Amino acid sequence: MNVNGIILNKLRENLWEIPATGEMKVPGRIYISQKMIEKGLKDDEALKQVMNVAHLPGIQSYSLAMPDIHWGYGFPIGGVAATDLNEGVISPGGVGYDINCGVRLAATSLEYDSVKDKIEKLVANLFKNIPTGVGSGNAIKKINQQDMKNILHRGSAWAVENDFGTDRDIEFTEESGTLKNADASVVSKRAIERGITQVGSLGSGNHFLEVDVVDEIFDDNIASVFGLFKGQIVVLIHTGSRGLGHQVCDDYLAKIMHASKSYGFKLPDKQLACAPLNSKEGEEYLTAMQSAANFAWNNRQVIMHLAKKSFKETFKMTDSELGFNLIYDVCHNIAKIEEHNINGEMKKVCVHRKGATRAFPPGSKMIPEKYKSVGQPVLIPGDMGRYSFVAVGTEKAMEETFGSSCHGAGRNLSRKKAMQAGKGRNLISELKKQGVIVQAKGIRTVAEEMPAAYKDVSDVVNVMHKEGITKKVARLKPVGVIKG
Amino acid sequence: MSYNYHFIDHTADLAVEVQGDTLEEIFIASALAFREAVVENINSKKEKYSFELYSYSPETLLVSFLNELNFRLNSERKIISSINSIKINSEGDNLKLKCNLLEENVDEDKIKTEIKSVTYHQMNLDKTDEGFKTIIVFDI
Repeated sequence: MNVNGIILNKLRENLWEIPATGEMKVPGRIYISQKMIEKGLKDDEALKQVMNVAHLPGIQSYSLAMPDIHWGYGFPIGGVAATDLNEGVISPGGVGYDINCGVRLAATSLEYDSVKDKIEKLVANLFKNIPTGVGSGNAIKKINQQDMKNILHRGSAWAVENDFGTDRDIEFTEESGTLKNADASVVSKRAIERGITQVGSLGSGNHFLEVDVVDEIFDDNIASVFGLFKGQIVVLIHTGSRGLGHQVCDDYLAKIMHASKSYGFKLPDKQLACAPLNSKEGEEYLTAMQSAANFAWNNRQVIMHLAKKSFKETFKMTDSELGFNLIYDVCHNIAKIEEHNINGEMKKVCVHRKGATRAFPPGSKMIPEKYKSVGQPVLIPGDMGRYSFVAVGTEKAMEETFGSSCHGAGRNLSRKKAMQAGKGRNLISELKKQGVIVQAKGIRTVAEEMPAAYKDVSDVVNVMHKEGITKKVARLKPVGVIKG
Repeated sequence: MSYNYHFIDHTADLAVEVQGDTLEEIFIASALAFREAVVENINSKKEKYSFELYSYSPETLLVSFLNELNFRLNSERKIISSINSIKINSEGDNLKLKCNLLEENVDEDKIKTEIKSVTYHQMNLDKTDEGFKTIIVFDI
């Protein structure tokens, strides 16, 4: 297939390859259906960006894209690239501004049928307790400089020590909620200033907290291991490192762009600026990025605690009655040092996941003991009207995608077009008629984030399911949403 | 003096095309586009604010400049209102920007978009016969 001059060779039903041409060091590979290419990739630069990423020094095997691929800056959203630790680079553009943006899913023991009359009250309590919106913050006690230092060093562990969670929560968070090589001393004062009031805040845009009902189970055994059952109320949280992460990315992009003149790399997009992993700039960025990732895990941990508090207020239940347990927390904007099979040899590489979720298989050392027999939960949010998915990682993901899968639906309409489509409509009341109670700081956000603004996430999830990269476990249907 | 800007439809982010005869005009147009993108109509008491920035290329200077405006908004709740004077000069290997502007307080409910940062994607400030023209993509 030829898409705007870019050749796509079909390898399998949902796998396409862009041959390495020009200065590309590896081919591009995209997991996507023909229908999705025709519908979504003809009018933008996303495929070109897959090719651009293939120019990165030390890139291994393929420049990959997941089925939710769309036009980003530098990397496409949905892009995955692994680089060699000695010969390769790290690129802040391959992580994005919202470092460790991610998703957290918590179970409850509640069944929708027994609590459906109280969802409106629950959403109001969630909205009261969890700051949402632009610059939102001050959710908890005043955070001081020492707290910030601890949060950046220790991530979720800070929250648990300060009674915003339990040891069990740590066990069920990717990397146990702490990247160990973090160091606050390489995070700028300005980044800390932006983050210090934002611990436990959702922010705006596509970030949300949803109350969902498990409405379909695809794999009974795995769902049961994860603690999911049909009709169950669960909570899905999507946010990241807020202003702190944005500033870390800004700071290091500027430093790396400046330094990159001396490296002599020829890259097709300034936003792909990168530094050798073994250079001072590369090492410092990785350390600062890990610190911002820890801030994000702590943020989602504190939000989960505030959500639990809201449930307890609404349903007047004890912790054990409520059963508010973390199922898993995954990040989808990150660079991680991981071991993968490269051309038949196991070696450590730096895996950039820009809008892609880690999807490790059964038996992986990196996943909680409880999930060892089935694999890592992969959380894929959709839009606030339709559904989100829980899937599970497989061995095939390790073989083909550096243990990665998709991360969401991807936008269908620009925010401007969504605003136009929402003009004159009461979207909150429309969603209520569909059974979804929404509370948001701004009506504008509801319009920009309306269900029709997003592609159908089931198309994305089905591509990865059919290709065996992740398997579907359960579908979640929103009944309550808070947004910025 | 002639500068202008217009917003371009971008599916995931926010993009604006700015045009100016001089580099300074590009910065003024970009600042006004930033204001239009992030706040509703507001009109409160104006205060002076001055700052200087150094960078090694026009593109990195523009990103630093807009990030400075975004930082003022995020941390001080001040939005640029207008630019009184702006000057960009070479100083050694660097470019130096000196800016005097008027800014005003903005309440949180008047902020319509949170900009995470200003990206370098598609930014190009090479001078042509018609002056300068670039796209700026804001990550939102």
